[in-house]
Amino acid sequence: MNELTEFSLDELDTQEATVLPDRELMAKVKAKKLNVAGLVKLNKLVIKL
Amino acid sequence: MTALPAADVELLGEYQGSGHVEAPWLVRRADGRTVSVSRVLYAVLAACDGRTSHDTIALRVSAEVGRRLTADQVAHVIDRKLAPLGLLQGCDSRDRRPAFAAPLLSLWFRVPLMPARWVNGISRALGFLFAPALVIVTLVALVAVDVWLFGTRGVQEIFGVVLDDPLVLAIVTPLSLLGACFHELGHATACRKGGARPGVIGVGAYLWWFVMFNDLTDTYRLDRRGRLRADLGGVYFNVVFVVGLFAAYLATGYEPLLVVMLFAHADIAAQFWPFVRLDGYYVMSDLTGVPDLFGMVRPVLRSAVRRGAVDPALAGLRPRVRWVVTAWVVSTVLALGSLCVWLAVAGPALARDALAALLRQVDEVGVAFASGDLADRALAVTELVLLGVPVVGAVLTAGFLLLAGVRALGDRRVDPRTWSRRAGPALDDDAISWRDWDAVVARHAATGHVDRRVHLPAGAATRGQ
Repeated sequence: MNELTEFSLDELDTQEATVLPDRELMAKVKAKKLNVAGLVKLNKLVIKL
Repeated sequence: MTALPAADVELLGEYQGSGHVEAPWLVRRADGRTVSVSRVLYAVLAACDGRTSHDTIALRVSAEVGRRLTADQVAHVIDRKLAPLGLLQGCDSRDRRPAFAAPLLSLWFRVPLMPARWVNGISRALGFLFAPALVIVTLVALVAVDVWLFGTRGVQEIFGVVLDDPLVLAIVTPLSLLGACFHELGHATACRKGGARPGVIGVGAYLWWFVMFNDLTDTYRLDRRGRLRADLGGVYFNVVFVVGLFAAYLATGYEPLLVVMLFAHADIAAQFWPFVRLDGYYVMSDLTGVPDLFGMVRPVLRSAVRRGAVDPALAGLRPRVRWVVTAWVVSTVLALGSLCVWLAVAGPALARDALAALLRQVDEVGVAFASGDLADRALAVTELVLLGVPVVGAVLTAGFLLLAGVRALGDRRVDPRTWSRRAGPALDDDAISWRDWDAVVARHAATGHVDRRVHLPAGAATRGQ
């Protein structure tokens, strides 16, 4: 073991230790596709039926 | 006697396909988060079993990494590096709670819709869609459908369907939402296909949009191919959705289905924008082998400012990866910077219009409530919410960015990233106040969902990044 290079404390202190960000894969929900006038018409149509 | 790994800590091995010169090693924590550590820290953690002495661990790790580690250094690593990250138990852990990452421009206001158990069950059933022959058939079918859709029918004619009858949008909307759900199930199915466990599907807010999301943090354990399949699984399911809609159109001749197909194409194209955390960002991350691309913004900018002095985080990347990451950072800064400039210029006019629209809608709500029609009331309130959310989202996002900028300026002396890499002083006990960590772990175990409500206080939050 003598031939191995020894770690220094500073070297150990700078070792990588990081919490990785979560991987949350997203899909946009397009609220603009919601057409209230259309929904109102549909609602009244359903009520009529 | 040494410490024991904390309950449910899982050693995942080396990060596959890494863009770093020295690949990081991964540990999955009890709360579902993944911790990236160096090989020597990983080796020490792997040797901790509650029985083996520090001397023996030192010998084992020295032989494994080819460097000499002493028993005192093992104790130092355990005390200063592993315990603060919540990876060990029995190390005077009373106040040593694990750090949380709070990445830039991340999802917020999460509301789970489908628990991990259901997501896993459904994705298991849908796994056949990733059979290679079926994938090829589906992609060929998409090409054929697109040639017909754009070549024969044309976008203008299809949207004429909507203009002729706005009621069509009432059909289009739920189908589009269904498409977004299917997109998330695509990610989950691909994740499971690769051997990882998908988490919850839910809705949240990202920048000023409503989004659906699927927690795929467990894909860190996969190799590059498996991660890329999970990244692209959502878009692939969009393709399946489009082909399915076309089949339904052939069977029924119902024109509004073509409108939904066009929206699905727009969704696919939008997913490849790599400058925010959409699918394209994760594809870029996995192609380069850098798990946190946004974490490289500061090192690249710092290296640019200090000519000749490359930031250690950037220097740790393979040369080709370093160039790609630098190009991505420059493009991202330009793209997001342009967006900020546009918002600053157009902001006052946008705010004025948004406020006027909101006030008008408040009047509409008043009229609806006076009419006594329950459906009118519900719809008026819905429209008010839909109008208000982007405004509130934009204001909050601008506020968060401003706050991050102010904090970064005030914290210039201690760079968070460097701090985490030099976590020698660790987390001072008196600097941390934690909510009930055990309750968090129990909640995660019950739901499979990471609880983001727990966070480090301002002084310590950056240390986990």
